[in-house]
Parts: sequence; C-alpha cells; structure tokens
Amino acid sequence: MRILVIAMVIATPLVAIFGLRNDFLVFIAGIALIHMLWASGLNLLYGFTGLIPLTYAGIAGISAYMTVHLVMRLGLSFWLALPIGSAAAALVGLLLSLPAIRLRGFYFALSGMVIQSAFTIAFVYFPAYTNGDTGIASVPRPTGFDGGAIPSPYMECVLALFVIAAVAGIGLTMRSRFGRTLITIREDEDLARALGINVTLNRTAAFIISSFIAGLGGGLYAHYIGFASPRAFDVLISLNLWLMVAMGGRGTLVGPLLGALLLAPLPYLLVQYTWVKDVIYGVAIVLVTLFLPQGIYGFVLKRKART
Amino acid sequence: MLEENLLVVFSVITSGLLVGTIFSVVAAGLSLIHGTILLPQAANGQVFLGAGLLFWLFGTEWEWPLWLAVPTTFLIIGFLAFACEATILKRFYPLEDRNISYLIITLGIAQILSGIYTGTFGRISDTFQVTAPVNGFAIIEPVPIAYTRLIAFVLAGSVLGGLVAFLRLHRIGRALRAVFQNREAARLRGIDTLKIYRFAFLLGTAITTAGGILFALAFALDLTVGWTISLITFSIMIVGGPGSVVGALVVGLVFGFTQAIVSVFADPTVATFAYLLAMLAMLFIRPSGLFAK
Amino acid sequence: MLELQKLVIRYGDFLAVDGVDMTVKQGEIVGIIGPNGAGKTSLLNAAAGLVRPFSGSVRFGADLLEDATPDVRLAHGLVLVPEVRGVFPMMSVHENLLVGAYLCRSTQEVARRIERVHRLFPILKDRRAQMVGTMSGGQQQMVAIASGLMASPKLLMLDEPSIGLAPVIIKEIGRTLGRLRDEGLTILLSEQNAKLATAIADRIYVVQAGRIQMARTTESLLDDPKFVESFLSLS
Repeated sequence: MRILVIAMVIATPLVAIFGLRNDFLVFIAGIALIHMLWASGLNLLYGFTGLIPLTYAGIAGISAYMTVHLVMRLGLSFWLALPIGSAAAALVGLLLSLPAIRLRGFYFALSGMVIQSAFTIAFVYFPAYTNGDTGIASVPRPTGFDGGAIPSPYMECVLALFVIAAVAGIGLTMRSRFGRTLITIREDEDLARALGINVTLNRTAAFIISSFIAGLGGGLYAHYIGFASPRAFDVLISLNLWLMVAMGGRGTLVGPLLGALLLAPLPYLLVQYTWVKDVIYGVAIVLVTLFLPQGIYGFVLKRKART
Repeated sequence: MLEENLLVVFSVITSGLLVGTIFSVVAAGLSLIHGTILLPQAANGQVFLGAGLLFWLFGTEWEWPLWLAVPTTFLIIGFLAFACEATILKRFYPLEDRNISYLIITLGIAQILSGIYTGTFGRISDTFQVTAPVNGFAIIEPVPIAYTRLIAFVLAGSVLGGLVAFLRLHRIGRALRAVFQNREAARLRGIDTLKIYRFAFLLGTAITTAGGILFALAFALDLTVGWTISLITFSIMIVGGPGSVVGALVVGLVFGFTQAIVSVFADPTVATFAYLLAMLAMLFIRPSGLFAK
Repeated sequence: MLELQKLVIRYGDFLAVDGVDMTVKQGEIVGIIGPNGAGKTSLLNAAAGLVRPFSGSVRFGADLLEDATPDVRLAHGLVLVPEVRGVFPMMSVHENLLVGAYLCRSTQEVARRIERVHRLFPILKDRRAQMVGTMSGGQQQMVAIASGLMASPKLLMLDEPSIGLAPVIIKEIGRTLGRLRDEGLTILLSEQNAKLATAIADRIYVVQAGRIQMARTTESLLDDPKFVESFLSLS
C-alpha cells in the first residue's frame, strides 16, 4: 500500500514528462524530482533524529560548487565529479554533527542558521571558486554514454532513478536496526543512553548519509539547471526544504516526496513574481507549524488510524 | 599625513559609536523579547527594515511632516505586532520548548515580509535615502558630523537609557525582569505572565521600530539590511546573554566599533563573519552568554 | 479559613494527590509533613492556583476558588512562598521586596510594608542593595519569606522553608514564624524535616503517597512513638 503511494507520487512528474511533452513542464518535473531527493535526505535528519538542520542547503551548495569546479575547470566527467562532491558534502556533514553533541532544539537550529549564513558569505567572497554573487553560468548538462549531454526527457528519468534509489535506501535503513536506534534516540535520548546506545555515533551516521544525499542533489541541481549561485543555497532554501518535509509529513517516506511535489515547482511557475513565492512559502511555514505539525501525510495516517 | 590619520581615527570612533548604539537598541529589543517570552524573533531585522521603509515612504516619498510620519510608522507596526501576538504567538505560551517553534515561525514571517518588501518597495528603488529633516554639520573637533547622525545617536542613546531606567525603576519593568529570572515565583507574586508576555513583545517591537527609524535617518537603506541586522543582533544577543539589556549594550558597542574599524581596512562582510564566529563560539562555550545569570 | 475538599491532583497518568481533605483555621500554624514526593508541594500549588486540581475544591474564607489565577488568590490574601528558589536572583533585596508587593499600587502602603518586613528581618535592611543571587541560602530564604509577606497575606503558605539550611538558621526562621503568628498571621507549612514543623505548629497532617495518614495536634503526635521514630529520629 505504502509502496503504491510512493510510486504514485514519484510517477506524477514522470507522467508530466511523457504525457505533456511541454519543455517547460518537463523542466519543472525535473526540479520537483531533485527537491524530492533533497527532502528525503533532510527527512533522515529532521524526521528521524528530530534535529532541524538549517545548514542543509549550504551542504548541497558545497557539493554543487565542487562538482561544477571539477567538471568545468578540471574536465572531469560529471559522473566522477558527483560522487567526489557528495563525499565532500558528507565530510562537511560529519563536521556539522559536532554541534549536535552539545546543542539541542532551538540552540542547534540557531547554530545551523549561523553556519549556513557563514556558508553563504563564503560562497559570495571566494569568487575564485564560485564567481561570487553573479554565479557560474553555462554549467554543462551531465553527459551520457555517448559523451554528449543527456537530453530531456531522459535526464529527468535519470533524476527519477536517483529519487527511487534514495527512497528505497532510506526505507530499508529505517527498517534496519540503525533506523530503529535513531527513532529511539529521537523519542527519548536519555532512555537510548540507558539502553547502551551510542547516541553521538548513530546521530553522526545519520548526518553523514543525509549530507551525502544533499550533495548528490546539489551536484545534480547545478548541472540540471545549468547555473550555480549563492542564492540557490542560502538559509531560506534550507528553511524551505525543511518546509517541504514538515508540510508533507516528517518521519514518513511519502511525506517529503509529497511536500517537494507540491512546493518545489512554485518558484519556477512564479518566475516573474519571485516575491509571491516568498509570501506563499512564509505563510505555509506559519500555517504548518500552527495547524499541521505532523504534515499532510501524517494527518492522513492519523485519520485513517482513528477510523 | 598625521592629521589625516587622526581624522580617520575620529571618524571611526564616531561612526563606531553611532552604528554600535543602533545595534545595541535593536539587540536590546530582541533580547528583551527572547528573555521574557523565550521567543527568538528572527523577523526582527525585517521589522527594523519595515520601520525604516515606512518612515522613508511617509516622510520622504509622501513628504509628510515628522510628527505625522513617525507616529504612523509606530502605529502600523504596533498594530501588526499586536495582531501577530493575538493570533499566532499566544498559542505557544503553554509549551515549554516553544522557542524552536517560534524560531521557525518567525523565520517564516521574515520570509513573508521580505517577499512583500521586494514586491512593493523593491519596484520603487534599490536604495532608500531619507531626506534629512535638518541639514548641516556639527563640528566636533576635528571631525564634522551631520546633524542627522548626531540626532540619531542622541535618540538611540535615550532609547537605551529610557529602557534601562524603565526596567530598573518602573513596577512593570521590574515585573518583566521578574518573569525572566523566575517565572513561577513571578506568578506567585501576582504577576500575570501572559499580559507581561504581550507587553514584552510590543515593547521589544517598538524598540526595534525605533532602531529602524534612527538607522534610516543616519544611513541609506537597502532591502538586504533586514537579514544582516537579524544576524548581527542575534550574535549580540547570544554573546551578551539573552535577556540582558546591559549585555546587548556592551556587545552592541563592541560590534559597532569592530564594524567601523574593519570598514577602514577591508570589506565590512569580514566583520559580519567575525560576529558569526563569536556567536558560534559562545553557543558552544556558554549558551547563556556573558552577561546573563 | 482555608478548606480543601476531596482534592485530587493528576499530572497525566500520575496521581499526585488522592482525595485530601484539609482545613486551616484563623490564627493557626498548621504543618504538613511527609516524605519527598508525598504530594505536599502539589497541595500547596493547587491552593495557590499554580496547578489545576483534577477534582475537588479549594475554599478560602467564603470564596470558592475554582478557576482563580494566582494573582486573584494573592489579592484575597492567600500567599505561597515556593520551594527552594522563591527569589529573583539578579535583583537586589529591595527590588525583591518591591516585586513582592506587585499588586499594591500605593507607594505609602508599600513603604509601610517594607518597614514592617525590615523590623522582622533587620538583616534585610542592612543588605537592601545586595544582589540576592550572591547571598547565602538562609538569607535567600529570608528574602523569599519577606517577599511573600510584602503581599500582605492573611494565610502564608511556606513550601519546605528549611530545606538545605543549617540548624541555626532553621531555628531563626522558626522564631520569626512564631512572631508572625503572634501578630495574627495564619500559617500553613510543608516540611520534609519534621523538626521545624513540630516545634511551631499547632496541628499536623502527615501525608504519604498523596493521602493523609494522620491529622492530629502536635502534642498528641509527639506522644506517638511510631511517629517520632519515622519522622524525627532520622533527621
């Protein structure tokens, strides 16, 4: 049943891709898929450890800039550069798990906001790698077996494969001992310690995996839209990725996919009025926190459980 | 040559004082709200910016007189703050760990406000320079200072002084501090904590508004100032200690001077970077800050 | 004066107080004695309005205090000095006293009350400018009691005033409470350490696991070897 729902959500952009044959809609479907990947990775942290990582977009940005640098300056193949960039992101994730050892709740989120702001400043002020506020344009599309850029709609299918792999991987992880351990830590940290669980180690592992997925999304994003700029990886993006997970339903596999599907296309549909997107996202953040803390899918599950 | 250096030193001192005092004002508002309600008001920079923009709109664009432009700005922001408290913030008062929900909500509100500014003011201009209500310079040997900046400095100092006096000497001010220091004992002394929460939010917002208007009087505004001010004032609050107005004052001045000194040699962003590092270090070493209990 | 009837207090699934009846008459000193977690603090908090009882009633004088908030009860003269930290540590002694009289808007009346409190605790007059957080535990407890008195109580409730204090200071607090009773104040006192309570109280309730085990006069309790053994010999 759950697999069916997941398949349906992931298939929605694919239907758009093959059914509508409209270049713009195909592009938006690709964007939604990348955000599904990001939201699923963020869910691993927020949904399964309860920490709100406002550094998430920054981590993705590091991988994006690194991948772009490796491909455009050093001439590496995208498919070699992407894992390197993502590994770098995972390494940064390891470092970012350090605050979580000492800080909880609000103070962890605040430290994330600070670190994310430092990332943004760094992206702007090291133009040798990032070209500053202007950003790097004409980033080439990922290449296929023939050495040329993968054309749409095949590229979107590749993105869908990434999403499916990530969701399957996270789903399996959650059923494993590791996943149950994470949930124990989230529900009651003291109890977890009393049970002899190494809280720090498990949480750090979650950070590394989640950051790796952020990195994958970052590299794919920059090369898919052909552009990398500091604004694409700032604190608002972190916040809005959090919103996708929270609105869809934290701690579930379907929730983040649903949230990304509903929210990610907005900025591209409102490209003439980006400020309207900010208002809509902001209102959604307030409403979700007030009225729908368990998210849409969590709400559906709860109602079903009641009947 | 020597004289030139002296001039630089003096201008650093004066601009450091002015910027630092305005930082202190805004950080004091933030710290007051956080200390009393456990509400980290991440939209405070947008409130600050909104105050400056409305002041510019009324006073400069529509050429209203000061006595109308300033109170109208306060009234509009006060009404919005009141509505926000009554519809949103109030719901979280019973929760112990409400500060995380508040951080997310106020970030959301910051995004809404920032979007609205872009969609409205952003279409008019990139920078917003308030027409000076008085022209000319005061010469404080050997540096000339624009009257507007001198006025902004004096007023910002008065806001801080008034706030400290209010918290020390007035019955309600003492009640605010009592709630911050010991919520339960405060309730047992007959202090209605919910009313104090609302009052603290409105007072903190009013102080932020005053900071925004004074900043607009002394410097030109642009739409990115909101986020920068949020970051700087959060750093000041964390380093100085949430709830401590004295902490906000001291650290605010230190940060202001840092900004002024760094601006002489390098990009002011380097200063922002330094604030962030200071805040991060403080979060790790002593989350209650330098000046709090 | 104070009447608790069939009071039940729950925190979620935890039953803290299980049907307690208790009365305090005008001019009495009444002690509540019991081990840690017996429900003493919950009883006093319910009387002061910090905790909402699950069922049962709290009556003060002629008034039924059903949903009254702490400030309303305070205005009626029902004052609680809470356990351990009833003070504001970053304020001076004087400011703590002023906050104690928060509901009183007449400066003359506040000045009168401060004078009275200074007569009771002369040390607070000498230390009026000192930051309370820098004082010793005993002095902080005096500030807490003094701050409670600033609200001009008819019934003063004290939650474990002797906890963590040296015997000399406990004796001094006992003397002060005796003097307050002589001035006509009614006092309800909860104590883990029975010594202070047995020294000054007229009547004592022994509370255990949320129920009243005994309700007797102090004299008859002190004749009971079982009580003396379980509550006085250890401490």
